[in-house]
Amino acid sequence: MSQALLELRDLVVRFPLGPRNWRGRARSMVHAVDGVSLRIERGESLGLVGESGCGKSTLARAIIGLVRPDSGSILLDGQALHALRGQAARLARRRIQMLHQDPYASLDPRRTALQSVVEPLAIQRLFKPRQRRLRALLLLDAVGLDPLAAGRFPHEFSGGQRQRIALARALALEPELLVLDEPTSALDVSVQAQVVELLGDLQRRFGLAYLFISHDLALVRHLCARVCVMYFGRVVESAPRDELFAQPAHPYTRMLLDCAPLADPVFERSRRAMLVWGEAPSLAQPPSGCAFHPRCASRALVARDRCSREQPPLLTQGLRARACFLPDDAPSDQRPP
Amino acid sequence: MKPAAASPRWDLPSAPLEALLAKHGSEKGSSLWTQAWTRLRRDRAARWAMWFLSLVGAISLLAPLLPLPSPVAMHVDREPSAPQAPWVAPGAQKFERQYWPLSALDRQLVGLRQTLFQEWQTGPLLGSDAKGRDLLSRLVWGGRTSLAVALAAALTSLILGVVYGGLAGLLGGWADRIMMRIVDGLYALPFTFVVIFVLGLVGSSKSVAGVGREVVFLLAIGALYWLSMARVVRGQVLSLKRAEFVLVARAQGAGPLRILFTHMIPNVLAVVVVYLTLTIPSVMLSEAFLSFLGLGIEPPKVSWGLIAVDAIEAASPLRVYWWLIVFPSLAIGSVLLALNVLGDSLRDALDPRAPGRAAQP
Amino acid sequence: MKVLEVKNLRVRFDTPRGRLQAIDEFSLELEAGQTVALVGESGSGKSVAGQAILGLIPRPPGVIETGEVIFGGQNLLVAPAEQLRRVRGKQIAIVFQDPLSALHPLLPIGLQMSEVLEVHEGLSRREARRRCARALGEVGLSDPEQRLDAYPHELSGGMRQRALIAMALLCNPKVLIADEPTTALDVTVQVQILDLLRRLQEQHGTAILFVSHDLGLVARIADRVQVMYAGRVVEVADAPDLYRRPMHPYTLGLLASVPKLSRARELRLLPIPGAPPDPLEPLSGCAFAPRCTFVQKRCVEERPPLAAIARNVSDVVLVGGRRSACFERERVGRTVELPGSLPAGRQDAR
Repeated sequence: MSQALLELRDLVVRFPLGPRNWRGRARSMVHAVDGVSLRIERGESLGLVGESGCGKSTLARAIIGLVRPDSGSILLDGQALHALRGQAARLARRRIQMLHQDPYASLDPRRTALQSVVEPLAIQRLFKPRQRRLRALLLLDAVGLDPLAAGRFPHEFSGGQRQRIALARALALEPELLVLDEPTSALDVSVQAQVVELLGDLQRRFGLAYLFISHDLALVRHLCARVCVMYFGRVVESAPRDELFAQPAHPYTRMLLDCAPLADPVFERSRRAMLVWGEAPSLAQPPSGCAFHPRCASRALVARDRCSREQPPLLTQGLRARACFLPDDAPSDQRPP
Repeated sequence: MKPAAASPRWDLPSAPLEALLAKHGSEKGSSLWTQAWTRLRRDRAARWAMWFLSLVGAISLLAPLLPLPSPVAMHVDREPSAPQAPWVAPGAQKFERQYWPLSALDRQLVGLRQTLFQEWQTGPLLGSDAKGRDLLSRLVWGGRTSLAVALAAALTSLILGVVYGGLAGLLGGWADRIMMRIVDGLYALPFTFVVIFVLGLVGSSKSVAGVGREVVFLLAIGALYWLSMARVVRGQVLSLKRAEFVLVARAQGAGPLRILFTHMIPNVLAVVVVYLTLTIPSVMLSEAFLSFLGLGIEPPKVSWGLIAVDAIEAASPLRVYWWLIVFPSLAIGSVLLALNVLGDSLRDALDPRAPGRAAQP
Repeated sequence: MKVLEVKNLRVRFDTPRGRLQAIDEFSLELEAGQTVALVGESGSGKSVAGQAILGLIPRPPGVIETGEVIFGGQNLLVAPAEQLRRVRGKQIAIVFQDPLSALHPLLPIGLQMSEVLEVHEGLSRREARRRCARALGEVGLSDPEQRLDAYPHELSGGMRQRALIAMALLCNPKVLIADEPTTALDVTVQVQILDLLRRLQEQHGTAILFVSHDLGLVARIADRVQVMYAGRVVEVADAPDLYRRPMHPYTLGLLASVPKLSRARELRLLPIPGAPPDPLEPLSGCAFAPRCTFVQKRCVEERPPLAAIARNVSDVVLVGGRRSACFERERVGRTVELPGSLPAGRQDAR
């Protein structure tokens, strides 16, 4: 099997709950990312789906290097990232860039669009200074912005345009992997569509790999070839796109698909109400065993099986993986309690 | 891992862009500072304040050039005289060139003034004090001193506060905690008394450890105000550290120095400028107070605090020399008011969240 | 039975940078037990419309130029403050987007809720508490008695929004205005909130004005839809009609740019090119013309009125029928019949 571009092995990221004492220890720790393993191949777009609190943003930050993992490893082309130092670390970091969710906060309000895009080039000392400016303008053009407007400041652009500036900045170092943390959540629907189409074009043009993080399953379906579903810090299912949507194999995936709003009122009305049970548990009080079992639709089976006692491991079968004790086609109950 | 190429791998054709740029040249955006300036100009109160302060500043700078009587020349035999309208006996007295030791530039200016105006000087427009000294002249020269001291002291507190607070914010962790506990401790001290104590120690000696007495005075006042500045700057730096664009820069490999100078300082500057504008009035008052107590500026040099001393000394139950109180109060009050108004307006003008921004959906 | 009617509402804002026409010629009819959705992106004026009904627009800088809001036989826009206060909260209630900022952080929710009852119905504290506990139970919160003493930050986002809905429905209002009530919530919670609203509507006969940008949510809850663009209503239709056969280019573009889980083969989103117009520089002619693929010369010169779509020539303008503000509406309507959107591979609703 060829070397994956990015591979995560049993990544764990913990956060302290409550204040730390003088020695730096806190009373208890929250496992934001609880043993995640995944692979992204060159030029592949992987969608990471989950609701708030599932750990997907923390995962993104760990990959980028803003957060230190507590255990597990992040491998870029087979090389462990945290083991690198100095020049090698810098070169490695160049290959992964990130696009953030909030287009208002991710750009320095006191720097022009051009300056923001030039900056990574200056930091990594690429090109001669005069060429950097031209390069930055070319990048802005490539993301669909008018290069003549490059001297403007972020507050003079709309949200969608700011996201494009951030994208141009992320592309400045010619990364091989782009981590996109909910890049369109703060944008209007029509602008969202523009950005997603742009991302698709750029991927085809430059052979980029994407880690596309979102809570919107439908959006992920448009951009990604493979999808991973996260819940409570772990990957519960992973499959090629078409298979995941056609035959979701994990109860949580099924719940997400059931809840995803469809632009078809007739169908929506005929859907049964109350497909969702309960709320996501707080990270401070993880359920025993499988984190999803209190909300699982297949209650009868859950009661009998080990779901409340043991955590199901992520088992791979060909291109698919799922973390569930129940059989693939377990029936779900008709009504919530 | 293969070494990274120094030349681009991606092909972005540049010919069409270069042609476009050659034809148009790119737009200049309006930075937050330019926008702030526009907003400031539109603010009526701020406009008045700026004009007034510019006027005061100009007068202070050009004081030696103005045809005022000497602020020092005493005529002890005369009674304090009330203000007289300018058309009553103008130029009744001859100009007496008496000052405290002036700098070379000031001496030249006075010489120039003599050439221009010969012996003419303005009459007692604001009256004179118990020692026969002209009040208007004393106010102008006194303002000069007070403003200079205020600016210098405010700058001192600025430098101290920014460096200390910025460092604490950047270092974070236990270093930050210790530094801030020190600030908390200093806050608890009755600082004014400490300053008075220090200045009392210095006493009437002309210099301490080679540093002029007045400089010590400046530093002492600056030391009163740096604590708040430090806290404000630290808070700003701490919140900036978590700002997304700073995280982005870090993720791209920027070192702490670059982050500090490129991202942090410009974003802290706004807060600092506003705070500075609002500190100057407080400093002026402190200076006036300390001079009033005899710990600051010494005669024959004059400052607004000392003028207040004269006013008090001249107070008697028999006669009310109202001009000795009214005019100095007006002077100091209006300058303080103007500074506060300006500072307030600056704060609104520099606030990126205030309405009237060029925001688009 | 018509419960709320808005006629020709025009609201503008006088900002230091010029006049901003927030909404223009906005009309609305709401019947008892019906849900009407106001759909639009940011800048479309949908939130302003919702808030104007209850007189929540700050004036200055807002100015209500013309229009009427008829409720219970009177025009709310000119009603005296005393009257307006009696209507607000009791007969027309509003639920906002962010429950955390809509609730007082330092008061337990029980206190905030009972305030509504004490003010409007003059109940004693104890009576009010009982009613509140019952309301909380109705919206699906467990242990309602205990929840009354909880502070907002102790509840999750979904629970807070349920509490807000409970608070809004305490006095059994005839109209509920929901301004993007689920935007800040997870998708699984969104569905629960929507179903809750529908259930409560069936039980109490409340009319709901649902303001949102999310076409998927709107499909789930709305009976009729009004699409807004640049401060005007551009299309009005019953929900199934709108989604199946939109008759305005903006609606069409919006539906095409929404990511779908449909069975359809094509997987490309079709974004609407360009950006909404600057509200400070109103255009002559149709506001959507610069971005429209159906644009004709006439569209740029004249502004198309929101006119009824007659079923055949002899039809009179029907209240409650379809309306579209487009000269080319017939062409748009013929262009596409959007495919049904059963998710790929799923044969039935599970």
